[in-house]
Amino acid sequence: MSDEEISTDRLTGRQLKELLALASTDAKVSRNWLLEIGDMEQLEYLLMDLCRGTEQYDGAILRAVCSPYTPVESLMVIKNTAKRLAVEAQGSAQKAAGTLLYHLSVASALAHHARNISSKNPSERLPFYKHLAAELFDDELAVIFEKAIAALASAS
Amino acid sequence: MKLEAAGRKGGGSLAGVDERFPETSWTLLAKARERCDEGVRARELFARRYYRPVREFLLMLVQDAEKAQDLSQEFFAKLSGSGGLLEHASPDKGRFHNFLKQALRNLVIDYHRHGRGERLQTHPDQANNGGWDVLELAEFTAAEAVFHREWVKVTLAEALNRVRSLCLERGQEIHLDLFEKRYLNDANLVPSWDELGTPYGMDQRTARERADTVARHFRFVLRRMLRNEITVPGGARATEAVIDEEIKALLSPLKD
Repeated sequence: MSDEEISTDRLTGRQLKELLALASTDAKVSRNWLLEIGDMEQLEYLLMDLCRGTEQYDGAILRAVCSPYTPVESLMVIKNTAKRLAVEAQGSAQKAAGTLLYHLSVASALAHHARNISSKNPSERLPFYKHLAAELFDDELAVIFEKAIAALASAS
Repeated sequence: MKLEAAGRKGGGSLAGVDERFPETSWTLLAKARERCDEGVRARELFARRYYRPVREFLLMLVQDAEKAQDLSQEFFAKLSGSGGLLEHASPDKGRFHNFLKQALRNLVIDYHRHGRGERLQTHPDQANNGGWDVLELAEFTAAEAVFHREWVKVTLAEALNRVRSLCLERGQEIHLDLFEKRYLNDANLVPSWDELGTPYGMDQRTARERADTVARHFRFVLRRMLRNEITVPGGARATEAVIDEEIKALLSPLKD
């Protein structure tokens, strides 16, 4: 890897096309939809889309799930809502949004309150949390999983 | 992987994410029209970002490097302010690069109108009914193709360097190296994942997964950049399908 900024000056037409194609939703790549969500804005948009026609979504859930001040009881409500949204979702991206919200609520309870609100042993989720912490685009989302990992490490 | 919560740059604030997306052309243009220090900074940034597409377009038409450079400087000088080249440009009337292209056409027509270009054989007032205003130079098509290619390069470079910063913050230097060697290398033959992974002791699957992480960052950054540039009537958010259309529009005129 070069220390300099990336230059596209010498790229051929074929390479430019390949890069543009990578950004298309038609790209022939395997998709991990949880990671494709990208950031808070995109997640919020997808959650809004999921709730359309059923209930009002004003972004409060997402802000609450990321906040260290949200009580465990509220995180449990969010977890159950997220589970329902994921089950009811039609599209892959929307399903992933519900699923990510679910994992965020469980991780937030671990991270901010050292409480497990899932029936599953949290240590089983450790590799998955490490994956999300490393791969999620948005720091604000990734940091919830980092904190959950740290909480699990200090508990063991 | 960093376990420290505070280890991430930006401390988990949304500002960290927003910094990964450049100012839109429209925002930059609005700032470039201001007469304060920020206006000066915006004009510099604007010129830095679009210099190559502008210069290559003009070079194709005037066929003289020095004249193309002078005209490029003239173009950026005339860009902002009252009566500026993009005075009537507006996000709800079309794509920014189309306004830029039209402004360049106008500059070139003006250049010929004032007799600065010796290459124009026919005087439009004699050849066309509409005179200078409808002048259609044969070279415009080729110049626009060059402009388009350079525009794509500038856009991709902007996205790639945002992704590069993210990878460096995240300690994903190897991921980035694999991505660069796969997608940005000079060789005619694309190396296999096996070849790319070997120096790092990785099998092909791992090498590919690492590069895919960067590809995902890139996809997200570029799509967001394009979304930010598109204005949908009624102020709605551009859908994924609209962004895909925009990508197709960028892709289709490119030649291998």
